[in-house]
Amino acid sequence: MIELAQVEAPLTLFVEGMAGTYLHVRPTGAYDGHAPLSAFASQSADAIYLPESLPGERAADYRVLAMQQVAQRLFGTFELTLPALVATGVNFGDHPTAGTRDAIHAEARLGPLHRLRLRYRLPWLFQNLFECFESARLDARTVQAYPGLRRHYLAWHRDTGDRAASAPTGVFPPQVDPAAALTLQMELGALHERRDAERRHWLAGSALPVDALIAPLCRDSATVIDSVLLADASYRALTATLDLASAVPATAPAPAATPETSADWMERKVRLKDWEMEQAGLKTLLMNAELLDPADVDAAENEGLAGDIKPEGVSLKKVAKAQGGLDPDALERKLAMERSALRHALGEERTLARSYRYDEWDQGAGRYRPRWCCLYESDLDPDPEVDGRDLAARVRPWRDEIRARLSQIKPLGYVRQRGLEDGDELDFNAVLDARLDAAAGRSPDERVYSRKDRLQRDLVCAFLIDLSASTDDPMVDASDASAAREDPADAEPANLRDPWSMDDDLEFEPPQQRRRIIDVQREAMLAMASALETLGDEYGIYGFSGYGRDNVEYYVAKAIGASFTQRTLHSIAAMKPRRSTRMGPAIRHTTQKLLQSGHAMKLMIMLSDGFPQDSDYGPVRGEHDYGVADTARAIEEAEALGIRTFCITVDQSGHDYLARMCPSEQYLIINETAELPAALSKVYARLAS
Amino acid sequence: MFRAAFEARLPVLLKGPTGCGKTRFVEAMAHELYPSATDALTTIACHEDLTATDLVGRYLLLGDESRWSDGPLTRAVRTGGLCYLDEVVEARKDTTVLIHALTDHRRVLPIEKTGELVHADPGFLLVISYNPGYQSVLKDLKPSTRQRFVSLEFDYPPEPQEAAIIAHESGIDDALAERLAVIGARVRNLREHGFEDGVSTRLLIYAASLMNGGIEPRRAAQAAIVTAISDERTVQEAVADIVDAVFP
Repeated sequence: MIELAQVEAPLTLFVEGMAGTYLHVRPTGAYDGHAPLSAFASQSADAIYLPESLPGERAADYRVLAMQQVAQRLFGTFELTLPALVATGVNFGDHPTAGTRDAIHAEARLGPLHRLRLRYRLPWLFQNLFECFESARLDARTVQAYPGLRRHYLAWHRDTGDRAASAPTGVFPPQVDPAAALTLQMELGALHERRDAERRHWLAGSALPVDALIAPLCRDSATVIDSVLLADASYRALTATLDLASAVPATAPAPAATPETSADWMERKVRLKDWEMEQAGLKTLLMNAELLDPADVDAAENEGLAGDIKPEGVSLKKVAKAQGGLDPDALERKLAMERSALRHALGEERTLARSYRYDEWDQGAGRYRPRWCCLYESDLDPDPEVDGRDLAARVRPWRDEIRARLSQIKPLGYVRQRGLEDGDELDFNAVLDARLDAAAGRSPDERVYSRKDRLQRDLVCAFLIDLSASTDDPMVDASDASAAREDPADAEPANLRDPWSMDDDLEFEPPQQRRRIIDVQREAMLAMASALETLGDEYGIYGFSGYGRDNVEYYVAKAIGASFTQRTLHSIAAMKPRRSTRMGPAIRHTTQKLLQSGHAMKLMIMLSDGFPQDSDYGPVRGEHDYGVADTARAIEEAEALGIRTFCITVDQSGHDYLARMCPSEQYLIINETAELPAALSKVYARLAS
Repeated sequence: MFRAAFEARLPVLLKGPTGCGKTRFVEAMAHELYPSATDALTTIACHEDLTATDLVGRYLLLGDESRWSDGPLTRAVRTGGLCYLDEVVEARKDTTVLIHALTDHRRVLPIEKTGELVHADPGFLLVISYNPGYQSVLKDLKPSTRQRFVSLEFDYPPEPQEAAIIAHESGIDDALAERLAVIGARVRNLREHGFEDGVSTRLLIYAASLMNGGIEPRRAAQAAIVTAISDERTVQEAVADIVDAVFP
């Protein structure tokens, strides 16, 4: 038994190297011998799907499975288009309603493969044939391009072939009584989505000379069209003896019954791009129209309507409508619908994010759960609704204070070192001494040079900011903290912090009226950033949130090593309350980032407003021990790797868990949120010097 | 292009990732432009503690007297010839001042410590190289420096050409060279993962030379590519897997 978790990290890189683009590796549950690998099965543009575990001990099996999916991209399975099919001149399919208006209408939402499939009376037969031939073609191409994979492919096919041979459904009846065609359908239906080897085994029992058929597909020049043609021909050969008309009811194909697969969704994604381009085109067209004097346009329009005197003067809006068959509003509506449908089908758009997996400490079991959390890292995109300049203005008064405090840290620069063996200048004092020594008969000191050396604090600091929903709470002030405690509405703040009730929370509290924790966090961060820019220290600003172990979100406001730009300012301004606080993976990820930065001294400062919590952070929801233990473990790991950590929180009840979570003296609870900027700079100055 | 720049005495900036052949190119050009001279090229590899003094020269204490000793740059300026500053952004900031005076119409090298103003020999040309892929943003060339140079961009060659280069430089057969070029291209897909430059043509040639010496391809690639490219285990494993897939 080999688990995906064991091989995932190098496998992801392997896939990226081979495919030339980054692809997420997504687990599909345990291996049951029927892993959906076909072009019909779940595929999305930015992911490949692999079973959680495989029988056997070979890590290379995962590479084979991954390469089979990469090959579909490399060698053109997804390049199958309807025009290309039409160009073959073959009338595909044997379904009586194939090509009728109703069928075409019903097919409109499907991709070419599915549309093709539905033209057959026995779609599953066609599908099996196509997949058998196409995978043979892909395997041949892959092995040709990467000969080193041959032995892994052979081993994999041998094993799966063995398994298939022992499977009960191994014989295709070459002659079938028409009346038994329905039984045949059931039997073949059972083969649906079987593995390649199994399919081939099954075909080997049929009347088809499979190996001879596959041979031409293994040539370099063979394309997916050849696979389709071969599948079509084989389908006809196999069904020639069957009276399908009586066995299969001749109703119109019912695409509704076959759920759309991700392959279709991928095509819809492509279509969406086309539409977006169309929309952009229309927009420019309209903009040009608006630039014209409206009176002119109207006049031109009227003239055009009156007698077609000036056809070129017809309203551009109309032209646009006529050209696209759509007006821009309708197009926009269509786009929005398509987008939300896509989001629904494929999950959140993650094409720009990179995924990482981290272990989690299971306190109850006393062990790590390997690769338990999936963390998605993405850039924090500036929010058009938040104006960064506002933030910058609010920060200005504090900035000087922070800068003054930080300036007490010794600045970096050059210091002249004297009395060296080698250097760019002579050190005259040393020369004199040496001359005196020589004159006095002592052996002179040869170290007579001086040199400017850099005294640099080789330091990097990562700020990790909690972007959980609770940072939406109004900031705590000493004055109204007591009032809040008496307020019965606040008696159960945990409910408000529940990510599920986030929306309601936002509704009954008018935003921006009171300063929220997040506001202060943002301001403190910006003030710190500008001060650190002056100081010249390297730093990074990251936010995290997420929901569930598969969905830890990690936002980069400023990467370590990146320079502070206008965009950084807007990214900091765009930090907003999101969902839960799963601190463990976020800390582990930051640790990795710090280690990669290559600086000698590494700091991690966490800003938080409460204990770590997430929907499945621990066996019992609402109980925080598990999360605290995991976070403590993550901090321990970071410390063991030479990173100094510090946790700042505004949670007044923080003492009981922070003491368990952080090394002693390495956390701070601030009473008033307004103290945050000052506290932050104090902590930084202490850690950095 | 380089020759035209040389005729006009325009300084040249070579841009490109490590090991893609910048130094080889300069050597070839020096050989072509000064066919007879043996010391036509002065190459200075810049490191982060390289100061202006290291380039220009300094006083040395010799016995009872101190004597001025020209640095490599000054020597090149006096005698003429190509002076190649490799990875110039690595050097300390004070070197750029020298470069500025040498690269505009003045073509002079001021030696601060002796008060001398060395006029460049007519045959002198400054060539610098610069690797934009390096992480440090601070070390980017300043525009005022960059705009004094004619800039030639280098990158790794496409697969077939790279295969030809590998075969030519190491003497292995074309089939193996092609395999190595494929490895190069695939591994470069991973540029973002801790090694900005991917595998260089130079490393591929090293691997080829090892194979030429009778080492089994996978072992040769392990030594020259997999372990050379990164210290991170996962990256090594992934690169090893790519190597494994490519060789028969």
